[in-house]
Amino acid sequence: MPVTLRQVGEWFDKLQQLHNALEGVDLETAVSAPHQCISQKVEELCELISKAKREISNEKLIKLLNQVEERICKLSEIQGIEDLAEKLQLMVTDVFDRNLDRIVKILKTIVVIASPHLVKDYVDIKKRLEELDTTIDHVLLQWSYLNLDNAVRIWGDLLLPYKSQLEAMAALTRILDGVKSMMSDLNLYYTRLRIETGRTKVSIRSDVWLFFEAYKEARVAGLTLEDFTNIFTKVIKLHGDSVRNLVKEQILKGQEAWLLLKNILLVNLALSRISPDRWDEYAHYLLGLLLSTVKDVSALIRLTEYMHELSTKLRERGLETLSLRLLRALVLAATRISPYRKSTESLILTIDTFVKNVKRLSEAQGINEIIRILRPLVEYVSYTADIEFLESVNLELLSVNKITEKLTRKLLLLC
Amino acid sequence: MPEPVGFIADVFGLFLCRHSQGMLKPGIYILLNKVQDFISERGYGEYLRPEELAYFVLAHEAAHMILHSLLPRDIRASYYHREHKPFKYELEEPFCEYAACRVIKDGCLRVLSFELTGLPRLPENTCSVIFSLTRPLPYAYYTSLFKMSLAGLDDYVQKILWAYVWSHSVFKERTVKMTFKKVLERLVICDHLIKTLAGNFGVKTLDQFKDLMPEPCYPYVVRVVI
Repeated sequence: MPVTLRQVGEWFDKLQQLHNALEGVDLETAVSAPHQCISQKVEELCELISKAKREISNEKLIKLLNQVEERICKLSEIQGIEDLAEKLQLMVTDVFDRNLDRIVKILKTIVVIASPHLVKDYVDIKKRLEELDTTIDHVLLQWSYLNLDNAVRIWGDLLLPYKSQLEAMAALTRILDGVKSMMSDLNLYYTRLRIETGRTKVSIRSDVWLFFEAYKEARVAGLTLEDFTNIFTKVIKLHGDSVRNLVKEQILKGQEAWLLLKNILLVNLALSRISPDRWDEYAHYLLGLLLSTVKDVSALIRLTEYMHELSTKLRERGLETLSLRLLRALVLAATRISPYRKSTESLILTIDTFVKNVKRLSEAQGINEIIRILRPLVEYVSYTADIEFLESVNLELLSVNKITEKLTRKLLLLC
Repeated sequence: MPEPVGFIADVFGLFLCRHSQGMLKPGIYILLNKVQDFISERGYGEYLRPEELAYFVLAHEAAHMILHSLLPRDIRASYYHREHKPFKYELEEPFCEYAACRVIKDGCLRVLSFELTGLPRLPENTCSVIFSLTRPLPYAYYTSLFKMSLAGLDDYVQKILWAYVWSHSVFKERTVKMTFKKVLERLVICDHLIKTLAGNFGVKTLDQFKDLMPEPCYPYVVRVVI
């Protein structure tokens, strides 16, 4: 069963608590002789409590510390210490006394050591992570550095293709670490994005956002995380330079670069579902052409967004064989768009209407038949990007319920 | 803001007939530096190499050259209004553009009865960039011919050119020539002519034109000017 990002996050929180509690503890002793370890900690604790009681004038706190003292003297009642520790922590938050902070930490350590299976679990996790070529410190550091807590809040239900939380966590931190350095190599420095989750907004690193947003699409496409990561790396390497140049020229500003990169990734992923053997060549060609010729940012972002929409829509309708040709027509027409001619939206509308027409006709005549009959029309449009022609064809198609080769020929000659 | 002129093959290359009185020697000239500048200005640098576009221009000029070789000079001159109405009413320009498109797409150069096959073709994506370049009139009418070709009517495209030539040669002898010229002055004459003839084709077979004896102008030399 694959695990969700939320499960990994919850597991990570527990691991972090264990790690904090066992910091500075000799793990071998904690496993082999827990009582000895606890005694040491109890001594340390008693010393701290006496010191704290001398320094603190807060009656409530002193009362609480007395209770702790009583409990820890009876190791049999150690289970109750956890509640006291929680209470202390709450009060410490108000008082900000370092001694008390340490007392809370030691109390938690004692609780953990008193449960040998927790220590054993922690030791096992450490070993497993070492087998996976990483360390617990590195994972914890990366997790907080990459804002993965916030990622859990945004994409909590996302399934990760791993059987255990540990594997998922190690793989995620490794991959995201790679993404981070890849972006730095390209001089694409991250920004913080504010993403809405329900009523609140969560801040997330842009590179992490890019990864998860694209991975969501990859899940839909049924790609494994490994395949997805390969595509991700390839696409960023291919188009990162163009995007970086647009940022350098101050054509793309702030979040726009990341939004564009996301759309580029989504187009690649959508095309990879349509024609696995040719997608990279085509996606590179189309996106490269778009990035090097269209300098209007909003048009660029809208077009890449629509390219994704179009390829998804065509695939859902069983018309994927038309996608590469229609996408080429869209891109070529966009490269010659100027403000005083057609707008991006009208271009998109024309292609969308054509797809709707084809879909309607294919329901009556069958997809293969329709594609065969319309092939010369689509070929013409994909070579010349003649959108005016497509508009006229749309008008003609709206009035018919069936299309024949004769009609296609007529449309070619008269539109 | 004025609309850009667009792509005109004749700006990047020219064909000089042996009857021309210019300083240059007869032949085809390709202005490679202009081709290169055009590509970089449009931002197509990575997707279209100068030599590929130059090949297209060469094919366009070669189509002119073959027409020069096939048609008698006086007939050709009768429809060639470039001096009076530059680039406006000619079918020869869109035809040569169409012929060049077929060269790069199918590797086949067909001009009337003359056909060369097995020529080098360009990749589909490169063709699509060249095809999609905006063109002014009358070059833009090549699309009408291309559509006919995709409808399986390439023979008709050739016949349309014959009809165009023939109508001039016939009307030249008659008083109705002026009437026809008025028709020619319609802005969309090429498109109109193509559509009318394609829709209701009335041209006779090529045998009727056997008396149009070609006046050969070749051999020509292709020159690349940098």
